Amino acid sequence: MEDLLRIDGLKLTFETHDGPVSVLRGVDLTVGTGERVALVGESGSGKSVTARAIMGLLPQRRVRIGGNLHFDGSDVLKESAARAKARRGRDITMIFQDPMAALNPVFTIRQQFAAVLTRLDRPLCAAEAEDSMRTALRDVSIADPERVLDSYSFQLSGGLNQRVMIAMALVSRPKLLIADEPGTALDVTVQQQTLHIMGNLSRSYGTAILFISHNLGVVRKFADRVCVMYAGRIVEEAPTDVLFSDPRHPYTRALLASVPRLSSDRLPEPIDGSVPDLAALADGCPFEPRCPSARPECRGSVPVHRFDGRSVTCIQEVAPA
Amino acid sequence: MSKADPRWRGWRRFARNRLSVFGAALIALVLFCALFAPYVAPYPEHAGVVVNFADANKPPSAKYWLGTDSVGRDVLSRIIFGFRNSLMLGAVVVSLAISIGTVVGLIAAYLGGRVESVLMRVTDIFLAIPSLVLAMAILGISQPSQMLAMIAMAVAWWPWHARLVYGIVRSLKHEGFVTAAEVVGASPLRVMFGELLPNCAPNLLTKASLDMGFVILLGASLSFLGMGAPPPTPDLGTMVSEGSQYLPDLWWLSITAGLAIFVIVLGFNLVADGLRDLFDIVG
Amino acid sequence: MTRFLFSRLVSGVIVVIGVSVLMFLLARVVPGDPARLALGPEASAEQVEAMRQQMGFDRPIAEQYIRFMKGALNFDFGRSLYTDNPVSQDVAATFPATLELVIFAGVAMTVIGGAMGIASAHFKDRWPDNAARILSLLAVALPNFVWALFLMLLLSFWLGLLPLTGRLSESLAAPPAVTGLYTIDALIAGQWQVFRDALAHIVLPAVALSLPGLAQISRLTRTNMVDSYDRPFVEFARAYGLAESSIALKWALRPAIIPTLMILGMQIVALLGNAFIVETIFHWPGMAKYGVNAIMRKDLNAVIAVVMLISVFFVLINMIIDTIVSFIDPKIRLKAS
Repeated sequence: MEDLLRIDGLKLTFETHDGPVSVLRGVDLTVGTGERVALVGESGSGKSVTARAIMGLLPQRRVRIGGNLHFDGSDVLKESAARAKARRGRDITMIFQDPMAALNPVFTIRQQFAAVLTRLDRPLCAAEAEDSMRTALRDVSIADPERVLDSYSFQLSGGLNQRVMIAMALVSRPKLLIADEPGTALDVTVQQQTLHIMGNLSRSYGTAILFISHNLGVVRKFADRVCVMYAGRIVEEAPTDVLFSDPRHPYTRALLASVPRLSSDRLPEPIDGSVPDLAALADGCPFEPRCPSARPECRGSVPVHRFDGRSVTCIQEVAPA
Repeated sequence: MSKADPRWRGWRRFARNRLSVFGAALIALVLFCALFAPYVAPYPEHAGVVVNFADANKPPSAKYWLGTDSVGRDVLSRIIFGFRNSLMLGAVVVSLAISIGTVVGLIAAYLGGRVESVLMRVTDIFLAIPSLVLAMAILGISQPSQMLAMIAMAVAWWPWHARLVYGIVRSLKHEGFVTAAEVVGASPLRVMFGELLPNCAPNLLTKASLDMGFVILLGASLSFLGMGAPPPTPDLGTMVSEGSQYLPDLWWLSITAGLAIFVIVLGFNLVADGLRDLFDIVG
Repeated sequence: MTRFLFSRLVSGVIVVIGVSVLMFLLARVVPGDPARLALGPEASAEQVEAMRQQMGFDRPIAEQYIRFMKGALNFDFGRSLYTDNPVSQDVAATFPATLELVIFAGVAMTVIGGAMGIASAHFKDRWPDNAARILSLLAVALPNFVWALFLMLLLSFWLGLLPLTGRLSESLAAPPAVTGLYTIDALIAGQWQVFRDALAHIVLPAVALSLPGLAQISRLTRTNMVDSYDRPFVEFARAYGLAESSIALKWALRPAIIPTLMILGMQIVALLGNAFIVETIFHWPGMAKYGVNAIMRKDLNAVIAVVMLISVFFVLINMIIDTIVSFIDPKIRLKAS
């Protein structure tokens, strides 16, 4: 399996009115063709920024970027804005957190879907486009595509809107689908359903998925590999079952322990402290203030241990728990 | 104040906006002239009845920095007194308009039902007539005077405030803090003036600043048409009108008085912009 | 949608009636005797009394109002004290000039103001935005009448580019009246010279009239577009690689237009108000100038008629805007279902 997406030491700093803020501080991430990778972290860890960097949707001004970002062989950071734009909606697509908000309230679903279809390689005539749309909607288990196409987003339920978005995202058979907290705005059961549909459809198209979430339960069911992110850095990366059964990084362990589990008598343990202020971050490990096994050396540079197809960014000789 | 203090952040945001600071400086200048007019103006007596035909219609010179008008009065002095006139007018009218409008808007939005319909209908009726026309119509009733002009303008202006407050309170009506106050047994008056009114404050303050500028503009328009304070009161709009008869040759009276009005309105507009950013008001 | 429009119509009618009551009461508050005002100081006491009876001032207020409204519905507002014509005739004669001015100013205000606003939002915080901001500030803070005088000085007196006052040069006759708007009528009749002349005459007053509204529309459109640009659905459009021009002119614009349209109605009516000043300065023979004279001379019938017409205009404009909004905003259109 070759790498579709390769991110190497990605650094990103925003120049704000109150000073520079380092949002990404050396992110390493890879996604292979057809692979499903989850990017997990709390709010403010830099997950969404990473997604936008991959798509080339970052603001042009007041931003400093460093490191490497390669997609499908191209150097995304060095290429022109036009190249990045040509890829969007075709090779890379995105699904958003709140499906109703992501769809324009004054245009019908049909009008928006038609706009999405203009991104395909071949221009379609009206009849072909209509056909395409209906097939796409049926593929996401929408029984009545005609009615949905005629509707506006506020007339449809959250789950329906989400499925419309999935249909739009996969109609071009993209190489990579970035799902930014999909279904967060939905009920749990609806969320499961739509993710199931997304999973099956992408599998049949060979689309890789970068799945951004803070919900570990969903991640477990869905992803092949998990990357745990904290304060702009990937702290641990492993295949899903390995990560859940054998977490090595203190943050990952704490995260897993903080999730309530119906199958266990153990009460969830919250993590002490709070997410650091990115504007005031010092060097060294960002988790150090909250880490139960912190050492003075943690304030210096932190090495990345790679072994057994996984990586852990910690100063400790991390042994199994 | 520590750096993280929201008030400090707020001031910094205001100060960072150089235009708003410039606007505040303009207003400070105007205010200074208004307060200390008799001491600032080079010929304070020219604000009153003075006839000096020897020096009439002189262009700007060392003696009269902005020239003289048709009866020989120093334009600069009259402008400085005109500032005083305008600011006073603006302050009175805006205070009146805000008071009436806020009360009407609050009551209509909070009490709802019949009261709301009636009050907002009345507001709509006043809003259907352009401010200038309404003020003129009221002023046309009797001899124009400073007092009547202020009343007329306040009558023309209050509906805008009523609308604004009505809109805000209507959206706040169902917020948690209102329900909390009601549950505890606060009387409607208490809820309206104790809870809802403070929440309108940022919007009202911004609008008040903007309004000062526009009310002064309205007043100048009225006096330009001859409905302002009668002579010899130094009124900027009247001065523009007087000067317009002598265009294009004796341009300084109209243009300088016009620029004086511009300075006031610009100042208040810039400050209002800054306040809007400061309070993060949307729309 | 029809239900929505119908309710707005009913509101509009109530407003017009309300305005009539307001003006009626205002007119009755006039100190001094209107009958004597009408007849002049030489008239005898009996003549004044007879006039009072004829004017109906001896009747109870409610009856006077009914009489007034009956007349209003028949477009009869009495006679002008000054011109001695029926007021409705005066108004009908002068209204087209004002309408022409308001149309030109309104179009300029909407199109230029809107374009400025969209450009400002798109180039946010860069030089087009700042330039637009300064222009808007100048347009709004420098009083209408000062702008008018300044433009007159610059373009008419000093540069001699445009004519000074009136609708047409003295040497030319008005085109055959179809709409009453000289520019349109001249076009219809194919009188090119008259058309160019009328156009040259309307430019200065229309620009002076449109400036404050232009500034407001520009700032408002900018605010609404910036707000629209921040919404998730614009990011969605960008994420799918849609063209920036399409985003600016379609995806972001249409949701932003709705709040702007609401204010546009008020701005157009404000044009009518500002016309009172502009027509006076440029000696434009319109209804607003007639209104100013009427107020100065306490010509009550004329004043009432002019204000009533303005309020009817207000209601009409708002109805048109409401119709447009209900077409664009599906939430309103579909509310009935």
